[in-house]
Amino acid sequence: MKPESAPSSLGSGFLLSRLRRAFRGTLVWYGFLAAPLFLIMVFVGYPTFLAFQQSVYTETPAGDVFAGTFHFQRLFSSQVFWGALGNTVLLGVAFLAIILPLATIFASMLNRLRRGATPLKVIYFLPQLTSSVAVAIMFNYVFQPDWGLLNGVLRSLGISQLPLWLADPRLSLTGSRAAVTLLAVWAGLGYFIIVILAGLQSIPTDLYDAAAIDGASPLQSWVHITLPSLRPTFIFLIMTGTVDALSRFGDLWTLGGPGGSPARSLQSVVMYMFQQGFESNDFSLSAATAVVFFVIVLVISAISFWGFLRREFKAIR
Amino acid sequence: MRPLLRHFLLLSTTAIAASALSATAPAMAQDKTPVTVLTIGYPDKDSTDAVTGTVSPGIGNLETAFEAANPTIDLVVTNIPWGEGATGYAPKTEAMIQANESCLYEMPGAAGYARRGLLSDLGALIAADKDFKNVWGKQIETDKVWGPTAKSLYYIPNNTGERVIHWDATLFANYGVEPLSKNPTLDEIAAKAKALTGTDPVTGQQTYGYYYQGKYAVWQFLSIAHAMGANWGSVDETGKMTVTWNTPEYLKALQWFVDMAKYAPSGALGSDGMPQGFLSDDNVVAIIPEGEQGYFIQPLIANPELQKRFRSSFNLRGADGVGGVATISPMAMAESCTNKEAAWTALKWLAGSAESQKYYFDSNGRIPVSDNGAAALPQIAAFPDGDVVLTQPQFAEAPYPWAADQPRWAMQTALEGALAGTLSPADALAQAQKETDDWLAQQAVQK
Repeated sequence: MKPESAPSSLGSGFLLSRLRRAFRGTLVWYGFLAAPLFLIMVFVGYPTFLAFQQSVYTETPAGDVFAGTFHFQRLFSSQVFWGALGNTVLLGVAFLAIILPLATIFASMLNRLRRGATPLKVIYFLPQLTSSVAVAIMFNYVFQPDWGLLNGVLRSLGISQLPLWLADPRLSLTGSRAAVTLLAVWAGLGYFIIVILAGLQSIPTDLYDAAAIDGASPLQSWVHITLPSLRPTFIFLIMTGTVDALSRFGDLWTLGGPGGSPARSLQSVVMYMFQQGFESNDFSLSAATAVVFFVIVLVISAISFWGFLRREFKAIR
Repeated sequence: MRPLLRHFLLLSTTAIAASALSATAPAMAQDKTPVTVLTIGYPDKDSTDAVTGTVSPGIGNLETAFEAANPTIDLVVTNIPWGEGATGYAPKTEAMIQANESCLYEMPGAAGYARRGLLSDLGALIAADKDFKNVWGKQIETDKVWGPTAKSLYYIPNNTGERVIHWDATLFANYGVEPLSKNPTLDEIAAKAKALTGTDPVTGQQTYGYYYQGKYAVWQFLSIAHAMGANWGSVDETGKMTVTWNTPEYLKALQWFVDMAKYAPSGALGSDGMPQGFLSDDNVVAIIPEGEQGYFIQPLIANPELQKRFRSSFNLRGADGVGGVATISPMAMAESCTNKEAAWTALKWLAGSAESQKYYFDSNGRIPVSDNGAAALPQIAAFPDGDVVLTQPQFAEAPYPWAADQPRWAMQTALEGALAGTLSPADALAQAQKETDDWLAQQAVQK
């Protein structure tokens, strides 16, 4: 028996020594990483698994019954879901379409300042530090059609047909969706400015010197050097901004309530998910919504990654 | 004797005396019949509002008042917060009733527990009680729900919120319009709202005849519809719910509501509170059918001058004599309660006595549900419309079993569309019906 067991003990010794070599000096770091990994698995991984599981089951008094794709069929046949998804996409696209150019212009101007840039950066960033619920409550007063701040200013300018803002569910530039987009831009502008400013300050000055020697105007330098150099920054902001916009909840919930008032114009997918789960106690439909939302975010992230970042990763290699 | 030793002996003697006293206390309580009760959301201890200085009495005050009035019963109160989700009152109530932890329950979801056979039939207790006096008015009838086999009374309102119709007496006088009746009709409201919309002849300000809180418009609409003969539906003995939004009565009511919205401020649809200037000289809205207790009672008590200007009328009523959303907090008795006689005495006191009703108001601002309200709260009884404020809850509709479920959101959203003009009233009701039907079908699968 002994000759037979010898190769096996040799093999395990070899494996152990290889493992020891591989983890020498780094094992302790795996220990440190194990604790957060465990917490993520318990508080993110396991609930995510449960959501996937719940989406294919129906709760009954006798226990959960397998339902297959039933809840997904219900979801895809619900006009309310499609409306919420449409709102989410619309609000996200409008937000990014406004905030990116605006933040780029503000950051470029700030970058040119010799004095006073720091206080301005602090002022622009302050809304980012304010709770989204507090911001929403404040903007509820700003957009109040009869006595709100914004319409007060418009009235003092002699405008008689005042917009209804949060009381108007129509798709218009002065409706509820436009109001919450302005709110989001106000709240997020500081963060976008700071990130773009960091991108601007990482552009080598040699490029501008060379352009100046070649006779390029400041505008030409901005268009041909600054904007292309900011590509990774824009990609980062588009990716994170998209996910943030898709998962928007606190301010919309505060302004629109569970139903996304008025007339569901402010209902996002996350609000729909919350309403189905915690207002209507339909956790299976809520879980199905979560799964669909997960897939949407995954697809957007994958497209962004492969479409936008491939060049950057190739450059690093 | 050394001072240290003397102090030690003094402390020891005090501790022994204290433990002897506490040992005798339960013996005294054993002479009484214990009745356990679950209450929700009252202060555990006396607390003072940091801004107003108002003192909210702790739940111990209710216990003391009860035992003073009922010396043979030991009321044992378990007071829990409302909470939310997994830590909310609902799972705690479920756990307590499953474990027979309490005899009496303040129980917002009482109808569901009644259907499951977990609650005592109070109708039977009333029938056997020669001294029973109905101090809850029509609620004893409207609050009947399905038990396991038949419809009966399984809970009694403990305290409540309410909705009255406010009207601004100054604006009525400025326009020379007759004051609103105590029991206004839809036609009267429509005519006066129209007359009161325009430029105030005295102040020159733009005024509005009507108001609604856009985000809670469903409650006002249901009162209007009920007054027009609409009926939302029913729950049968198996717990199956039928909801009928798409009926001619609801259509007529929605058309009326959409018409009335023209006399409201343009921002009403986005509002979730009273109009700007309400309870001040700046008020510009004449008829405000949103008189929720939290908005007006304390300010009117604090400033009696306001009572003359901001008046109250009863909510709209249907042919059955009731109307207005019910926001009662029900008190029920567990079927598993072993000392029902004492528990019934406690339930009647908790839900109907002047002392308990005063406590609910002082601690949480809740309105009395019984005839004893005027005696409990003389400061409200002294309002020019004190009788309206104190007795409106007795005429409220039966609680809506779907009040926190999809039928509410379906109707609310449809209403918003109709009020904003993005949906016709007919389309709005069709949409509400479809969404509600889908939800009901899903509920049927889950049963």
